[in-house]
Amino acid sequence: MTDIPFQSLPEAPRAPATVKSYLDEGHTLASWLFTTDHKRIAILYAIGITIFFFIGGFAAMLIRIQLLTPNGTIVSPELYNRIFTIHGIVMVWFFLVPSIPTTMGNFFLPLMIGARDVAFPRLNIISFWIFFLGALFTVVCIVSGGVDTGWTFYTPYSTLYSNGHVIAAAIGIFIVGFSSIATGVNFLTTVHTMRTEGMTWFRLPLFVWAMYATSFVMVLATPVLAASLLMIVAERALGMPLFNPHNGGDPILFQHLFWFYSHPAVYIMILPAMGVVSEVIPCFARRVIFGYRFMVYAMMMIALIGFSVWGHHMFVSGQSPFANIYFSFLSFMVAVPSAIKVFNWSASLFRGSITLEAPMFYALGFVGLFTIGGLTGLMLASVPVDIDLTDTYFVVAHFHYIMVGGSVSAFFAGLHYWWPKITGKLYNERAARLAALLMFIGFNLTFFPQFILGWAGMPRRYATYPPEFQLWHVASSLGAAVLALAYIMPLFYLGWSLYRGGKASANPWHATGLEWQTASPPPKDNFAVPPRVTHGPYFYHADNDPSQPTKNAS
Amino acid sequence: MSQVTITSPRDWQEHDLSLAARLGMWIFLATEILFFGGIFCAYAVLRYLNPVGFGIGGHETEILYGALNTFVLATSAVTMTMAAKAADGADYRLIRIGLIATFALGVLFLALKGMEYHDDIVHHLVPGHHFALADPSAEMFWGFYWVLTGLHAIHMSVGLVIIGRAYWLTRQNLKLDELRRNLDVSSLYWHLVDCIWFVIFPVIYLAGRSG
Repeated sequence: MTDIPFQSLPEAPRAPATVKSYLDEGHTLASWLFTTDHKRIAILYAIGITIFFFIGGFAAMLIRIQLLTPNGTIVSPELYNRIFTIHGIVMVWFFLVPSIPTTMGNFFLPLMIGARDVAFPRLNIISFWIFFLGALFTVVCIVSGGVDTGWTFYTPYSTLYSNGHVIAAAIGIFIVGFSSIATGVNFLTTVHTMRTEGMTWFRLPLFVWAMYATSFVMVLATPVLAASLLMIVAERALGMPLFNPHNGGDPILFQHLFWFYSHPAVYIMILPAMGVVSEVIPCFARRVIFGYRFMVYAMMMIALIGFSVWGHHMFVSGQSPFANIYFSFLSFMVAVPSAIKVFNWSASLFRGSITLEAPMFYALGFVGLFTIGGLTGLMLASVPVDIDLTDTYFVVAHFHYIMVGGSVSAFFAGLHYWWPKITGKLYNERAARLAALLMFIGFNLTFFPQFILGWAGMPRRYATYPPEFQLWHVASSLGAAVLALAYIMPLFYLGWSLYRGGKASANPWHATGLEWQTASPPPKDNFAVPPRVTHGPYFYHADNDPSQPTKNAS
Repeated sequence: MSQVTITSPRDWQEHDLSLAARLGMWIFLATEILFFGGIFCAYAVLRYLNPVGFGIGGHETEILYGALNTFVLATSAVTMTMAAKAADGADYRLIRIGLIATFALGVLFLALKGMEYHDDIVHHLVPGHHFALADPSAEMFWGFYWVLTGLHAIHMSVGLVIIGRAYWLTRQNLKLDELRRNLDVSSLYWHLVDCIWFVIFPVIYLAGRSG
């Protein structure tokens, strides 16, 4: 970080000193719990998902401890099933899906388009409470009664055989779905109707585009998950045999419906991450994003094609070879826009004045890990390879590279990038870089061995394994310990910054996005006066704008 | 040159609430269609796999109730539109008449539905141990019957609350624009619930009746 003033950025519409920040608009508990301010709601969500992240993470630690020894270290196979079910359900629905949209999306989408709030502020706070209570209900059900179906709820196991609180857990997830839908409706409407003067569609920051694409997927996919969970509840509770082969039902039908949601849900988790990284990389490379329009089209293509690839989860389910070919082909197609994005991020770095502050550490980590996750995804999209690797640790490693290596890294990139704006405080840069480095090392140590395990034939979801796999499992568990440390560290140095951190200026990174052109933390109405936008969001170097010096030049 | 230029101090303008509300409702309706779409899709697949059982099951539905309810709902669509259109001319009396008629027709629908449910229960058409029909996939058809009509009835009940609220709003001192916005959005929802019924009616009541 440099102290040289960035002369061409006037930080003009910064609120006068007399205007209170959103943090000072009421200090009572009620002023937070029943707020309609999108920024405060973002904070509430952040607290919520942090709680669920550590619940899911605790379950992950139990899994890794269990797998230290071939015969299982701590729990019975039955309990192990419940533990990985908690891990999956909590991490997917209560952390990853809401993670970036409800926190950074809620906080920054209105700021980035120059709006005062989202279109439906009351719906926004309602969505938080639906999310929090629904998720809490589900977690209590799983912990008290035990659900051992895995997060996928496959029939007929979930409908005919599993003994546990499947109904309650499904209802809880169903309820949380409403919160996803509400957020999606809110964001789409906000982007359509509340852009400030001069904020044309192709001046939107890529993060806003990412939120827009994600919202589309949320509103169109989540209802189908709701429908399929509802049918499970109908079969279990009301005896309506929709998936029971004895009555002519079709268990595979459930997989189709489930993955119709759950594959697009992968894009709900990764598109926001792409948006965050597209903000961070230009800022710390001092370069305009390469191929802005292609980045936009690529995200929309990913969202669109993402709806037609669900069958690649079902290559061994007995679906027709024709379906396999169709889904395999389209899965390869998704790689095209994804690769465009990776190339464009790399090209944005070219000839940049790159500085390696913590957000950039995380963002670069994202690009590398996402690429590995994406390439192994191509391997799995190929039917003959997938038939061999289905339900092995190779698949586990692949999607953790996308979701943890990708989404969670990007979540931390965004958290560190926007922390000064959200809180008005500066964190300890050295500690943050150390955590980023540890996360990268810990992540790879945890999950790379799982590729090897899977390739060697280790199936997933087993509580025990043959001794020849032990070396890799121990390596993976060690990595998990490092990863846990890297996740806990930010709690301390970010927490510390709240009390002892230096005061952040309005624009500590000298970024050019609209969200940086107001005070840190922003006032309740975001800007002192409605901003008027005259050009796009990435204006980092002289090639773009002669009046704008590069950081090195200034 | 920066991204933001400040010319003269302006104030925040209210964004176009009417557009936002209608757009938001349309998007929500899309989610509803996907939700029911998932169930209709399951219905289509399972009917394809079990044509005979679905025919036997479908034969037992009460066509009279179904047809009457279709008529009731179609009529309520007219009265709802009447209320929404009356707002254009600020005709409060007609708005209230339209809303009351819609509400009454909605209640009539649910009452008929309740009588039908009663008959179904008496005839042991609830899946489970005492299910009346021998064909196992007929039981599945009746699973769809209960799930689809039940979900629809829940949506109708929500619709009644929305209509009731709209009526209450006509009694408040609202600006006409605000009232119109509310009526527009309410009628969008009401029409969607109608439309869903117009799919449920043929797939549940009509299909299988010719056998």
